[in-house]
This record gives sequence, C-alpha cells and structure tokens, in this order.
Amino acid sequence: MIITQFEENKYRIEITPWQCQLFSSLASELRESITKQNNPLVQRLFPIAYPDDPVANREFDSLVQKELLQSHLSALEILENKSEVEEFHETELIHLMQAINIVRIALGTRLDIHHEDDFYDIAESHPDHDLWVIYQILGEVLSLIVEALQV
Amino acid sequence: MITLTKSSLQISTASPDLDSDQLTDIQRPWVVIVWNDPINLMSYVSFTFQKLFGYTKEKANALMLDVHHKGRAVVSQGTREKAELDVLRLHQHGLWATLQQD
Repeated sequence: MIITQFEENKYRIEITPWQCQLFSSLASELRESITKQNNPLVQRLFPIAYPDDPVANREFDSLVQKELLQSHLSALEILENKSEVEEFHETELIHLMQAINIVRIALGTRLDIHHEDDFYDIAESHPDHDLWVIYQILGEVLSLIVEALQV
Repeated sequence: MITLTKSSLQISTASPDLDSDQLTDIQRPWVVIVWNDPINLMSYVSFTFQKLFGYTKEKANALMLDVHHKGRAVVSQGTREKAELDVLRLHQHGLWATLQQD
C-alpha cells in the first residue's frame, strides 16, 4: 500500500490487485459474521462497558449496540469496496483504518493471540500460518495509515 | 391564568433526604478505562487517543504506555453521559474500554 497526501486532509491510496482482493474478501466475510453477535470471533468488537453491573450494561447495550454495529458495518463497506487506486478524505481514511483494525481484531481472536510476539513463534508448517501472514500484513497496513495520518 | 404567590416562589436550598455520603457519591466523576489487549497496535492506540480526545502526541503516548505496561489507564472522566459516549467512540475504534464511578 502506498499512501500519498496530495492536499490538506486528502490522500491517494494505492494497493496491489491481490491486496484489493484480500481486503474485499476479509471485509465481506466479517460483515456477514458481525451481525451474529454470539459468534465468539466478533464478540470482542462489542466489549462490555460495565463489567461489574449487568443491569447498567444491558441498558447501555440497548442504547448503543445498533450504533456500534452500524459504525463497524459502514467501515467494512469502505474496505470491501476499496479500489486499487482511490482518493480519500481524511475522514474516509480513518474509517478505512477502523475497518482494517476490526478485521485484524477478529483475525487475532481467531488466532487466539495472547501476546504481541506470538507471530514469531509460528512455524511455516503450522496450519494457520497463512492467517498469521495476513494478520501481519494488516498490521503493516494499519501502521502505514496511522503514520500518514500523524503527519 | 397563573398567579405566582410568595409561597410558590419559595425554593428550598436544603438537600432533601441526602446525607453527605450520598452527595459525595453523586459528585464523584465517572472514569473511562482502556484495557491492554495484545492485538491493537501501540501506534494505533496512541493515535486514537489523540483523535478522540484531542490529546497531544506526548500525552496520548504516555496513556498508551500506561495501558501497555500497567494493563489499564484512565483516559477520560466526567459525567456518566460523557463517559458513556467516550466508551462508545472507543468501542467504534476497536479498543477495549469500560466505565466506572471514580
């Protein structure tokens, strides 16, 4: 991915065809799973706000759950429909960043990551090796976006 | 027609039925806590704090490092309504945030 800022708050994002296909397929898959909140892979995307107060938590969920779901879905839609070359306003780039992050969280949950350095212990012969590589790629892309937005 | 009498305008300034402990409890601010997780990138967490709360890079980095090393950090505080809104915005960014009264 190449990110170039060409105007204030405007960015040109270029990604390779395979990255485009990968992002689209990951976003599409997560978009389908995310509505099933009993799915343990997506539960992490809907954290408990009041861990010690189930009543307050239910009330909080009833007020914001729909908005949180919609926010995740809107972000994923941007990632799913991303073209190989596209110009983004800063707000859209932030949504793209959020989408990549939530896909990475779902993937990290699927990989049962407990420590930042877990990746380095995965052998190439491991059945989940490819997923670990994708997880790593998403991390690199996320870093690039954060770096571009920080400037 | 409404007639305002002297008695109807009398407003008591005494706190009805609230002892000092209860008053202190009401005045205690709500705090938003972000918890460490092994997935979110440190740079992403710091950037999110800057973006959502308008913190300087230095303050955001210090909070992020607290989350990373101590396992949690208080990132904002205020009324319950404000804390709930902050928690929602952090959840929208994939951070693990909770709220509680200080």
